[in-house]
Amino acid sequence: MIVLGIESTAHTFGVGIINESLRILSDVRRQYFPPKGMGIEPFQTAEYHSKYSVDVVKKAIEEAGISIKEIDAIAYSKGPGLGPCLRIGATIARALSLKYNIPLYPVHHAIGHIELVRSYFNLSNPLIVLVSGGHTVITAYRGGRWRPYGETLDITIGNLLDVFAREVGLDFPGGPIIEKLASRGKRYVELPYNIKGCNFQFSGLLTKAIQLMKKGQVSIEDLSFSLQETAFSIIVEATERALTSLKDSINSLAITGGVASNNVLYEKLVKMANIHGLKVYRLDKRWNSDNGVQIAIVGLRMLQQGLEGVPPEEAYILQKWRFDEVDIQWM
Amino acid sequence: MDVIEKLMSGSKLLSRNAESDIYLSNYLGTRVIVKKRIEKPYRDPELDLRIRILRTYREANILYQSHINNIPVPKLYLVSLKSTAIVYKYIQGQTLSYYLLENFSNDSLYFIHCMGKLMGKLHSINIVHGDPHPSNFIVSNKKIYVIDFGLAFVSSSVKDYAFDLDVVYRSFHYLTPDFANVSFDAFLNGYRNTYHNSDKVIKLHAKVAKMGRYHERV
Repeated sequence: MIVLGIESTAHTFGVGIINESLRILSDVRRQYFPPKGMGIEPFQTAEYHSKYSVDVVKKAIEEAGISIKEIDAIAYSKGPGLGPCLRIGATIARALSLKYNIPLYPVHHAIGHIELVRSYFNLSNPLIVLVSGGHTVITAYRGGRWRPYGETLDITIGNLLDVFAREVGLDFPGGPIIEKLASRGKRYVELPYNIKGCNFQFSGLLTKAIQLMKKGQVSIEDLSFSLQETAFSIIVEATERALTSLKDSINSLAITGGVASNNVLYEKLVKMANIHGLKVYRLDKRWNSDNGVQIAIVGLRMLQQGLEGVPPEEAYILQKWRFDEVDIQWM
Repeated sequence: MDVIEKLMSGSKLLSRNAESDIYLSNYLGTRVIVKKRIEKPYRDPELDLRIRILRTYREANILYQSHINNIPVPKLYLVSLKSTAIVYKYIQGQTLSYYLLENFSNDSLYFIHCMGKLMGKLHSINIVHGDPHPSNFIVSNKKIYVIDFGLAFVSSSVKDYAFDLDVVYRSFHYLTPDFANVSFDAFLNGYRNTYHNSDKVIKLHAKVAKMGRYHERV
């Protein structure tokens, strides 16, 4: 069984090809970087994707050393994400499906992140912390779906870092730059710490951090340090609250999504997990960020489960789509 | 060593929660709970101390406010901001979560109704609980008590009350997905009973419930 996955929800257009033993045959991506001071503008990003998409697909097939006719399923990111970008991925997927008569599998982007880390480490009852530009959620599998036990009620951690970086004149993506600056910060500056049960909000924190920067009384290093300290402590506290409410049913923790590559957040999570005698699993940096393999792996699960794909005329996209609405048939 | 630390040293650890250690002890001949907010190694020490002091202070303050307003809460005996610990009367019983998870019955619905009445009373005196999860309600002799005011605060904002309702709403969905709707209805019936402004809060809650990412906005 060979599955080709197409990721196209936001800045990355990626194609990954895997086989039934989860061997990665190829992984090719192109990432759009916005001009300085700008965010990810959907139409410009989509234009970038449409420019490179065919090359990426060709290169992925070539690197996999297969012929396109050997592919058993095409999985594409149906959502959630930026409409114009999603349409590029879906269009390519439909075209390949029609031309070569390969079944099509629509995939939820977040389920891709989750399934990749779960499968790779073969986790049975994990609590998963998904931290990215699109999601910030603490989730566990219960009764056929991934349920959110805690999540952001406004912006994501990725938004928080990117927008802060942009507003204070740092480059995109903001996360790694803030992490580096924060390592040189020493003084903790008080910032809003907003947690409600296991849910949380970051917009007050963002506003206050930008205000402090513009007033010029706090150095960028101290502010980056305080921003990370506050936001990551909130995420780890929410995770601990979710964990203690689920008690013994959880036997491991995993972190994934673009912001999972941040070592400060990872180490905080490890310190918390140690208290509860749990291990934290994290993939190599490359697999935390958006990629085609995460889409392919969900396609593979659906195929292995004997699920039928969708006909090309029904292979549409969904900009807004909750991951807890997706029925998981393969666990 | 202050009084609270003395109490703790001679008593047994009952449970370890997300943010505190709970000890069962004796104070002036009464069974008491000593709740100590413990250091979190994952937080910056300064931020950690600030959070623990603030929550200890808030919890003590709101326990007292609730008590003098006839809200069934455990009676507060001691507070130490230095040890970030409080001492309150031990209430013998089961948490409401137990009644939802172990054996969902008409009794469970009755207790949920009482929980709603209790939340309505809190909101009537401008107290936002912050984490009204069923595990923070204790059923003792058919009477229901509310505990754990660490995230509580005083506010007259309808939105803050709606966030409280959302914690309840979500917790029912996680704990008993099959009975979530009937449970939330029972809760709201109780809530309407004791809070005159409940309709506004319930209406706003419909919006708050859709505040997670990628919901279709209502």
